[in-house]
Amino acid sequence: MDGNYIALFVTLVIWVGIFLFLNSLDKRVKKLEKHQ
Amino acid sequence: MWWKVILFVGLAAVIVFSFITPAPQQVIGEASRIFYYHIPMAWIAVLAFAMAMVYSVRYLRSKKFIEDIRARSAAALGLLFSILATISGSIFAKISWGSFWNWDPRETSIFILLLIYGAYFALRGAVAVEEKRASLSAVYAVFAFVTVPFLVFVVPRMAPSLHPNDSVIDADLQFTMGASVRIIFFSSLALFTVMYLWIFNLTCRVGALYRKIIEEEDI
Amino acid sequence: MPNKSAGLTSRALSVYSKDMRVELRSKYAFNAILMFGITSLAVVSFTLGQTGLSPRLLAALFWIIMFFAAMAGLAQAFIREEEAGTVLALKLSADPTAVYLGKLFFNFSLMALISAVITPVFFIFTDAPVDNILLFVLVLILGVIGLCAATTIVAAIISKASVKGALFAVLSFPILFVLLLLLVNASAKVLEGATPGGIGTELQGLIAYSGVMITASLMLFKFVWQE
Repeated sequence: MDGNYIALFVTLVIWVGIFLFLNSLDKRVKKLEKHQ
Repeated sequence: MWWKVILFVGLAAVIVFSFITPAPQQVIGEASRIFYYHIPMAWIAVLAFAMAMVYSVRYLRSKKFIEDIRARSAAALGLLFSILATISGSIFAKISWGSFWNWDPRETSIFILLLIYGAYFALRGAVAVEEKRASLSAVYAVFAFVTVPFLVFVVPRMAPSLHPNDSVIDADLQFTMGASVRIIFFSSLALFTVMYLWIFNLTCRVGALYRKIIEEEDI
Repeated sequence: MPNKSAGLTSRALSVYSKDMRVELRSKYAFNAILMFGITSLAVVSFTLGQTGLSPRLLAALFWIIMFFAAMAGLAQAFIREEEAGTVLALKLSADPTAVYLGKLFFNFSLMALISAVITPVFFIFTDAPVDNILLFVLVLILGVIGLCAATTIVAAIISKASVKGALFAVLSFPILFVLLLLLVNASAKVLEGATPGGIGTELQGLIAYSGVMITASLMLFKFVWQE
């Protein structure tokens, strides 16, 4: 069971990381598009 | 934006439940949890290919560069998800059946898909003139897509050795798709698709901006 | 009013005959394919010997050799035009469909000639069973048609690339995979002694494959050919 919790934690961290990255990218792209 | 919230919370929930609930397939055990991720990734790899084909056709018809950007973005993401699907599938195969690669129909198809994506980008890399690059890779994307029905229908019948791999997966997916498994699985499928579409949208906008800013051309 | 379809055939034929004439003068593509084919056949035969070669292995080897041969020479039809600088003249003298058909038949002819040489040599070197030879030849013909159907437009595509190198093989292989699978399976069964009925699925697949590839090529070729 412990192995599962580690995998769960790692996967969650990866997902949060991906989401935050995509969000910041989204904001930066929006800003650049406004300047055009 | 509300859908982002749903996406974040939803996929987080899927992740949590994919590990907390009992493993979807008892015989294979804990490793079967990878279903929740591997199959959606493979699905997106194929969806991306279809999208690349559609945008390629649109480019050939209209010659508008935005379509080429979209085709290329779809292909790039398709390549990424193909690699992820292949890796996750390989790990699962190793744990369940003892070997990383067996050339069963599904593995073979994803391998060919990888080769197609690789060829697509090799072609793009080899053409210097922008318009030519877009046209040639668009033609190749469509032409390669035409072979997909053959992959789907012919390859399964041509397997030289009767590997039980796939029948095990399929039979068991039917078997153990109890209510909780189904919810998690289909949620994963839907949310992965939403995530992919978001990344696709971002990739296209970045590509369009790049073209506008660096090359000072309008699309 | 000129008959459109008769016009197409004669235009395609003139592209074809021009290519054949040029080829017969230098025999460049023919030699390249022949050398690749015979060399790989010789290596296979020499290293593996004659005993212990199952029908399945023989079939796989045969089609790998044919694949190499195809990769060695089928791109010439278009590369030659680019290198000689005759692309523009060709564009002006014939429409895309005629050009495609002419090149397609040129590639057929090349592969047919090569097969006529390689096949007997293959059977001699490997001592493969010849009881079902007619059926084998049928599969061979369908295979050659399939190879050309899939690779002719790819040849046109890579002829326009600036860096050709291994591009022809890289682009062709994923598309040819299904064809090769069908061919190896069919040939293996034939060498094991199958009847035409026994390879029914494969035959259907081969015919469908060639039909689909040629149709798709006809529709897409103009986008490759135009500037």
